[in-house]
Amino acid sequence: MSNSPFRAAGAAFVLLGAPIGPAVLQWALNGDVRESHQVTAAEAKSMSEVLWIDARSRAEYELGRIPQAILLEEKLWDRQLDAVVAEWSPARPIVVYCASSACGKSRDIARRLRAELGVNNVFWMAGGWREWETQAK
Amino acid sequence: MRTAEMVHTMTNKLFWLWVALIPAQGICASLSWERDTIQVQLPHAQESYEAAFTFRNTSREAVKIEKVEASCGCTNATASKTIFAPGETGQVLAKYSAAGQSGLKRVGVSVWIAGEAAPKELSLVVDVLAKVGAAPRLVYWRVHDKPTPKAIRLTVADGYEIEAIRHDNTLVKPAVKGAKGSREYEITLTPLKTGTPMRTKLDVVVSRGTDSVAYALYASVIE
Repeated sequence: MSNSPFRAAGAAFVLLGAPIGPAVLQWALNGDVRESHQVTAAEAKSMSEVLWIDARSRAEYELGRIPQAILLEEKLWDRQLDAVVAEWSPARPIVVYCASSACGKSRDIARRLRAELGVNNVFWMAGGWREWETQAK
Repeated sequence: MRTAEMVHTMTNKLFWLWVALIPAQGICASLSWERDTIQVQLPHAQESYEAAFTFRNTSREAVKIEKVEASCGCTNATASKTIFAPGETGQVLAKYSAAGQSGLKRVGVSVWIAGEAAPKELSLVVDVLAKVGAAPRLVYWRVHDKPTPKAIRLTVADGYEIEAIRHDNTLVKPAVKGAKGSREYEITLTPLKTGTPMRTKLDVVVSRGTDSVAYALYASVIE
């Protein structure tokens, strides 16, 4: 009898918690949990003198891009890094974007730029080009 | 019936209801995975890696894998087949292509199972080792800063050695520290003047036998 309240609480927790659990997991996986150096399109727009890096393919870049964005594809890294360094200065935050939230390249490229340039103000725009386009409409 | 007895009866019923509903709640996943994350170091000469995530159907019913998706175009993920009988084992294969990449890469693999609300999330973590790498790759001074040397740590793959540093000797002076045959070098760069802005690129040439690679370092004097 003495453990009945605990048993009831446990049962209620599991009965209510189990159906909610996957939804909570889905919420976390959908990117509502912020990662290091992650910014939204609105946050990136509010920064001054952003150096935009487009991590998509050249074909996607040619079809449409954020004004003044520099193309940086991982497979052509060493060839295309020169253009980034030529425009970079310590005062300019870098924001990397790729196609959409399903694309992880922007995060990887931002991490690599932080390491190679030895600076911390390199961010990745999780919603990517899709989020930017949606906001522009 | 006394109130205490009623509460006791109700909690007991709730407990057994919960036990009965466990399978329907999806608390027990239908597939049991050997591991959720695979970590691997990829030598620079290896251009791809295939990771196998092994699982077993531990439920009493056949399980259908509806879809397998990788989080980046660098990886092709597939299931060994679609339907798995109770007790049957299978694999999700994730083939990673390292073309042009280096450093630590995390690839997520989502496995969508029929009847489950959220996909099973697997991770492939690949450390792609380059022939040569540096941290940082760029050093800079402000205009009118003292022209003090700044250090870059250069790492080369086994057997590679620094052969030459090509640079504009009117702008910057490089110096290399590190024993011959070592994998780690320290390159210090000193600007010859910091009175006006400048940007320059140095090519570190590393080689092993007939294989030779030029790797760029950058030095700038910035306003």
